[in-house]
Amino acid sequence: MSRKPLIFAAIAVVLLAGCVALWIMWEPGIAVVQPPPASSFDRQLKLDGARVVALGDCTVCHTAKGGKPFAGGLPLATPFGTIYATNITPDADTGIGAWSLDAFTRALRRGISRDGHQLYPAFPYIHFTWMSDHDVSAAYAYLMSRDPVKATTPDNELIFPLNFRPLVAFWNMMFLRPCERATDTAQSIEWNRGRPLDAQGRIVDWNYALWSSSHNERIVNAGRLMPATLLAKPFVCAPSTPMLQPEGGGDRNAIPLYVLPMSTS
Amino acid sequence: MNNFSPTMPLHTSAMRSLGAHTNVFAIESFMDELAFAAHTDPVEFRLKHLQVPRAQDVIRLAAKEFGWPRPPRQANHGVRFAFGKYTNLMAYVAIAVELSVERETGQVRLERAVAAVDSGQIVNPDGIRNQIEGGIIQSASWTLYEELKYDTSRIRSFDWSTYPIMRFSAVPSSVKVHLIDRPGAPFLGSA
Repeated sequence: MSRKPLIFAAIAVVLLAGCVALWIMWEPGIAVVQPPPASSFDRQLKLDGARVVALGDCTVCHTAKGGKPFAGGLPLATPFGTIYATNITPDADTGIGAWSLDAFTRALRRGISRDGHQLYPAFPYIHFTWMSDHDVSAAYAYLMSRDPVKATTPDNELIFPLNFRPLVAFWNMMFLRPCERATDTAQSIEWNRGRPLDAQGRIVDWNYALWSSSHNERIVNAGRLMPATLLAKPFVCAPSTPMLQPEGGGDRNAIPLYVLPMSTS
Repeated sequence: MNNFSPTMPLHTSAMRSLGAHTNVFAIESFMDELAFAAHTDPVEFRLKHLQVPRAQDVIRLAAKEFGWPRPPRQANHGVRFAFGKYTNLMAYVAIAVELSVERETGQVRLERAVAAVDSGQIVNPDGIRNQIEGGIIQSASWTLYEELKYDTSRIRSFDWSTYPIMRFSAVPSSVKVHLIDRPGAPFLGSA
């Protein structure tokens, strides 16, 4: 048998693999839009978005030390080099002002920038992918109604081959499970809301009444000192003793010095 | 009110000033709301409803030194005024502060504070100033930063590196304390 067909077969396999790789790595751009004015968003949606963005802690990474909120530029040092957080203010040139809601949603769900390039998973889209449609559009409304800041994000300083962004597509194949977390309407709101926390198998909130010490719990012996309760053999806390104030039970400054006329009508 | 509950998951400790700071906060906040409802300047409103001349004096002095009436409000900046007399028996203190807020992050900063104090006859003015400056910084730190951090396992703010507290980078750029001397008058908690 001639070796020629083998060579052709090998070339065909390589070409096919190349095509598959290109197909995996290539993502289309999404058309630019005029930055939507802040007034175009529903007020309640923006308020919801403020909460979503606060819970997502977006500002922590997307704000440089001493910089404007969300204007990016914070260096994230990794063993593979430094990644700079991007500008997510609605500036059309250097931020996300030209991003449509579709482009924003794709970035959160799949880690793809508006123009089609892969974002690095320093941006935790593998988690944001679980956000509901409402939360995504609320975050969009909130961010798009911030003050636009012109701030160009510095270029990343990553080692080869990680500085070749399209390779992230293969990482995504392994780690990204894009989908929208559907609300289970058969369950209560609390159950649906609590699920991300339950998944860790840990309770994150106590049901307890707010408690602070009154004057009766002032430091009178070692047992009243907080660190003393952490000792292997803790000191015994002195019993609580009611202590009356001149005007009654501890009502310091409860009576204003102001004289306000009483309404007689 | 007495409610000692030794079985709570977190053991807190007694805090100085007892009910005074919460009561004064409630009173002064409500005075601001009343002044707003009456379309009156909050300093004017306080002066109008106080019949204690020494209280009026510290309010006038703090207002004058701060630059009252307030200039028009800048974006994300606010100016507030308050008066207090600890347990209604101790020193008279009036204070005006300027605050700024980073709306996106909720970060509040105390930009400057001007206080006026009358604690009777002054023996050591530097000592009184230090008392008031310390009080301003500490109460700003309490209000803006300090809290017991905890999670489901244990207390997480157990030393100075994990306890949130005001740092040098956050102290106000200016704290000014003006004293009123009352020769012959009794000391009111500080001299």
